Amino acid sequence: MNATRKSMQSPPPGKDILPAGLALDDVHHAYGSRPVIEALGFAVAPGEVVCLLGPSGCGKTTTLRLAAGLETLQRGTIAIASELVSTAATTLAPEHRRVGLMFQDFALFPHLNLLDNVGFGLRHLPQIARRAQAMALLERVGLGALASTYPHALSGGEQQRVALVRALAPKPVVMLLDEPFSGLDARLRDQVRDDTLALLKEQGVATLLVTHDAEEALLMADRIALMDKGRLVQLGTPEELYRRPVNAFSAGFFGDLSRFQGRAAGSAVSTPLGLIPCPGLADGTAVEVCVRPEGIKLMAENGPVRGRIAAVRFLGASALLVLDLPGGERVRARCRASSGLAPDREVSFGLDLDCAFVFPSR
Amino acid sequence: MFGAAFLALLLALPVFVVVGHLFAPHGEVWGHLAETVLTRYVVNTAWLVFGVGLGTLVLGIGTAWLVTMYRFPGQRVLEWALLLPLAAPGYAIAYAYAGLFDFAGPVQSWLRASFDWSRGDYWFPEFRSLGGAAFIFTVVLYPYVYMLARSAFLAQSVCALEIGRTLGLGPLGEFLRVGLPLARPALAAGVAFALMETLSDFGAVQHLGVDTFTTGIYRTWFSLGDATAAAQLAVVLLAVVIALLAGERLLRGSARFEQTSRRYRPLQPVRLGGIAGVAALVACLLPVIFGFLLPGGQLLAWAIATAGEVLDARFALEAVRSLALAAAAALLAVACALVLAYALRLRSGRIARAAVRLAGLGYAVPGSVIAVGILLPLAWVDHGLGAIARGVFGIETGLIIGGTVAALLFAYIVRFLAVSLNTVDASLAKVTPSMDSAARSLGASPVNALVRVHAPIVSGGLLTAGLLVLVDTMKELPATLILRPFDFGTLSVRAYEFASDEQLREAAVPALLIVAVGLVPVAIISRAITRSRPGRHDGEGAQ
Repeated sequence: MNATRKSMQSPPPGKDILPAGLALDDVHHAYGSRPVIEALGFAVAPGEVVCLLGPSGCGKTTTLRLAAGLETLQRGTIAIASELVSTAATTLAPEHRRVGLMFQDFALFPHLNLLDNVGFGLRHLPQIARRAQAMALLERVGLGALASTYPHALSGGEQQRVALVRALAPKPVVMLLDEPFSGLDARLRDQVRDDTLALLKEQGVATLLVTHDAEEALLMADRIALMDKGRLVQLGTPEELYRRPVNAFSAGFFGDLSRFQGRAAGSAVSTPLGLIPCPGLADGTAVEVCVRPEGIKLMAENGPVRGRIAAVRFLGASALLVLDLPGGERVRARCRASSGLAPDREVSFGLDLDCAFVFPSR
Repeated sequence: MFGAAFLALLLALPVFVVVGHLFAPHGEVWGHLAETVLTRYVVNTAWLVFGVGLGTLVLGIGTAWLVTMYRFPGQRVLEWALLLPLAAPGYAIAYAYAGLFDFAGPVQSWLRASFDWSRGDYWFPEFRSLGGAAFIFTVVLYPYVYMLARSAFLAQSVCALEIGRTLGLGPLGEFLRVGLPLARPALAAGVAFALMETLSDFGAVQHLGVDTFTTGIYRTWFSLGDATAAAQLAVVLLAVVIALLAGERLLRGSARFEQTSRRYRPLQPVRLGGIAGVAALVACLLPVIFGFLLPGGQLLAWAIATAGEVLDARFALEAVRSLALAAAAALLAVACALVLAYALRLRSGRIARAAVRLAGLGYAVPGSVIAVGILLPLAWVDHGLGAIARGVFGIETGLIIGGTVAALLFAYIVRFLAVSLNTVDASLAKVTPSMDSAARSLGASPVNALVRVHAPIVSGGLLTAGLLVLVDTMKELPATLILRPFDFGTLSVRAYEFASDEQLREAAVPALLIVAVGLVPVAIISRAITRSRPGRHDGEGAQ
């Protein structure tokens, strides 16, 4: 790795101003001959949380390591705080990038107490200032009383908080979090997520959070970057991804789908659930129709479609139904739990078109 | 990276040299050996392997099961006391037994005096025999099995055992059908260790007059002066060792019997009182008595009696020399282990992995085989250098590298690298890759991260590794005997020389010093065992 203190000042042609947070442009990466990232580009603004979401092996962790400078970039550019830090030619060493890193295993230093762990990145300060700052951060997350204990004595949630403030201590421009909550108990996780988000927002740092958990991304992200097989599939707010998925993969990542095959005819496609519009698709195009469970609306009587309940799962406030349609198809529905839902009952229902998506078949 | 690969190859060289002799033409001496002694070597070695394997298994498993599953008087002390025989090298214990049960020794003299017997009136077991050697190796080496069996039993969650009980097994069935099978990989490893030590022993079998490959190699080298034949004997011994390792792998199988459930509930030992408790105490005490207390006491008695004559300036010099030599070997071995461990960490390709494994093979290879594997190439080098010196300068050089301290140190490193490598590797594993990344992102340069994160975490492990190598080096006998410079004595060589002259009482002083030093790793190991007990969440365990 080429670890020069000076970063390259001249921006690439055609790009006058680089963004203030983290920006990736046309990033390609391969391990040997196996490409893991292709033509990836997106930016994270200061104060923004972007979740890099995707199935395991889609290249999201590699993206994070590239941004941190732990991997050498092969093609494209990465900029942090309006300065290029990675190009195919040079890689600024991680210690000079002003990034904070946090891992699933938290990676606390076992030989240092909490105060020294948090103060690790504050070496440039005199000892008194360093300790004061580390102490203030520990107190911010309610661990001031444990400053002199060692990491092994902490619970998972406490370790997570220490790792977070340790990474934030040197005031990084960019925070990179790799599955930061997956090591925690489900019971703890919601609280820890809220606290983490509050702290990140408070610091105004540009945050890139890697996760494979769609619900976590919906909960945490200002914007979600959905990746599949090394490529960016869709970038947008959680609502955009949920309501306007660009393809079946994107639609399917945020929940169960009922799928139907069909052909476009007159800007619409006929399905067992009725006619669904598909403007812009030529007649005869083979299409896949995806319907979210909450798009099926049970109606008291005379709904446009009739079916029979095959199975019911109560999930507390809501219930998940499997419905047999007259043509033999099955569709999943999510509705409010009520006492009348039992297997073998005939029901009638309609379709909320906002929850139905038509994509050309691949 | 190339440096590390080169180092690994260099350290594997002696083994290669020996194996290479498999294809060398068989000389006259080999034919003579094959006709006369080879069968005896093979038969003796086979009996030793069988006897020691069976004996260490029974003693090791039995004591480990009693100590972990039951509570009885003295059990806490026995937990570590059962490790004590590890402190003594086999030859020291063999000297003690030979003297103790000799015709003129205290036991037989007392019997004769008490019952008014004379020679031939009674039968008494002869320790200078194959059976005696097997007995001595068993009581000295069973701790390897005990140690691994005990941690395997401890690591078994009580759940597996309790399920066995609910499925209708009694205490014996629980032991035979759940406890033992679960511990199989550990038992295989323990017996393999014990047998490797048996195969590599030279001092004990030499003194007890049991001809094995190690004594054969030594005699062929020094008396018959045939390097090739010695190397060929070494190949056969190496083949036995490799068969042993393969057998261990096979027994271990593909199964990895680690604890599968994360919820660990410690064993609830059964309290034994009355006669059962006393029986358990006696059963566990006997191996400690025969493996350590009795021979150790004999050595102590002799040492007290002869210290006045033995402790002189020459002895002091040899003691200091032993320590210095061992310290140097420890430093070098740890340095080599560091280089190799870091090379693996930075680039863990298949080739690098194989090279490091190869370099770590030395621990399985008997010291006499390594010595032969080092002396042969050094002799070629010395011949070459000598020829050049004669041709160019017209002087006779004799041995230049062969028979120097450098060759000796190299042998120690080859032999004991695995000890340091395992320890260094284990302590380096405590520095996870994400800690590296975290340190870098927190502003530490690579060097800085080494100093501030790696050094403090790893240093304890390095010290342990160094100590283990130091002690192993002080105990080492066969390689030292073969490779040492002329008239260069160490504690182990001194003990051997005294014993060869039948001055067993005098041999006790150096032998006892070696045993004392050997207690250090026993203390380290027993501490590591209690710390690594699963279910202890203090993060310091699992070394």
